[in-house]
Amino acid sequence: MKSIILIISLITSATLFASSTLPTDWYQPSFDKGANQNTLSTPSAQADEEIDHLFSTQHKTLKRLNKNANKKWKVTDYVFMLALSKSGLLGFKALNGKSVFQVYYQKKKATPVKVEESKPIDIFVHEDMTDSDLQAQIEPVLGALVATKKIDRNTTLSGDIVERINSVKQVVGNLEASTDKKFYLSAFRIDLGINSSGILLPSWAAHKGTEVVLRLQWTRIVKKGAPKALAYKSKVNSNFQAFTESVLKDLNKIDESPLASTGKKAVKVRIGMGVTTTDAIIISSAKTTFMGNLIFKRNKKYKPSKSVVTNDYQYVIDKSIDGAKKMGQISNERFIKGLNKAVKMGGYFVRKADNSKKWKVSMLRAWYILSVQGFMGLAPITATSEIELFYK
Amino acid sequence: MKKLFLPFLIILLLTSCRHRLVPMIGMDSNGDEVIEHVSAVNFKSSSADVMNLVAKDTLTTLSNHKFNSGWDMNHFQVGLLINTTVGPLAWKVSATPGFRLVFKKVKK
Repeated sequence: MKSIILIISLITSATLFASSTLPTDWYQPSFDKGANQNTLSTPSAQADEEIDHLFSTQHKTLKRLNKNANKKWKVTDYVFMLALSKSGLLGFKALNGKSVFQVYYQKKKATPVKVEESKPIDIFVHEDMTDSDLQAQIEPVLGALVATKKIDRNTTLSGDIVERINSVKQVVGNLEASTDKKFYLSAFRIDLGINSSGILLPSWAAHKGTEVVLRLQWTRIVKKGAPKALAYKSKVNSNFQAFTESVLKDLNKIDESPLASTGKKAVKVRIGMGVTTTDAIIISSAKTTFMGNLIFKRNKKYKPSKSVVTNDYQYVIDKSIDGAKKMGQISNERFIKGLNKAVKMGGYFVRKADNSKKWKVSMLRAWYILSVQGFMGLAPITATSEIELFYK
Repeated sequence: MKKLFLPFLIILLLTSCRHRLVPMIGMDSNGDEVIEHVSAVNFKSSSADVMNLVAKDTLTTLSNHKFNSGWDMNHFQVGLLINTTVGPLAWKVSATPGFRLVFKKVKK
């Protein structure tokens, strides 16, 4: 099946072509506490037409692809990325060092396989793994990394990684799988940076100046009723559990009516977050004890309940994303409004991308940031994206 | 001179309509944003040409390769890296080896 995976990312900067930009409430943080998160300006006719032109250009590029480059192969999927400038100009992403346009070929007689994210997950972690289990999994990965000659073998590296994993287990090991909500927590992921000397770097520096990034993913969250011996108790954990439960309740309140006409749904939500030494849960990219990503997937068996869930948990946001260093916090009410606004933006791009007769959008991923005032906007690529919604 | 101006303007207008621009947005080595506007015609032809070239060479090589491990490759991804640099006529496309191969086990 021919399909498109469209990835929209956002880059900050000034632009010379302000006439065809998106409305400011789509991308500029609002510091007005009275700002209405429920409203979303409609793009101008000119901006609308410019975005159509981008999709049209990409589709015409695909027409030029020689689909019979080899008799045994066919083009099945393609992926492209859009970027947004600081002033709202949308364009093709052209970032050195990253693949921005991908074409998938498949053997004509082969069984279709699912197109997955290009970045592999290096190590899967289960909550009941022993240190020797972890070592057994880490060693071959480290061997492969050293073979690339990007890093030297440091004698303490393997032990340092196990120690880091255990510190994170103290926090995530006790998470329970919730199956009675619209979304459920499916995984927890952190990236570890390793420099050329084989030194493990702090989590917040995982993607800055590192030679390689080692990705760890907790693939199984403790199910309800699991033996208590597997549970890890700590003060941080109670905050983390409360935060996760709170987000799960908030995700129940996502209003997907703007997507109704597209036939698409939000299938996955990834929230970048961190835990500080003072046990605060933050949604940001600042220095923290560790940083990770909570990945929520849609619960296909979920049936809406008539009962109204009240929720007064507050998310702590690091103001460093806006240039200051102080901590702030936003209410869950603003968080929910921001999510709903993000869904409206996603619906717009799905409708734009679905205009091709020959290609069908299989998935749209959009990155968003959350400001200290609770503003939700398209995320700049220069900052860590805090929230990512997958529409399918 | 005035007689030439109007036709010149019309030709310029028609030319600009035929060669619409598309913005390319990236970052330079300092992390500053770079915006280049390139001809949509150039974008389409350059991207497709370089992708076709890479596909032709690599698919032929892969088709002729004998896999003896009991696994057969049936999905192949080519990544196209688009490079832009500041300056006139700086539009440059290069296809980097961003390959991803997916194997399926051969049924015996």
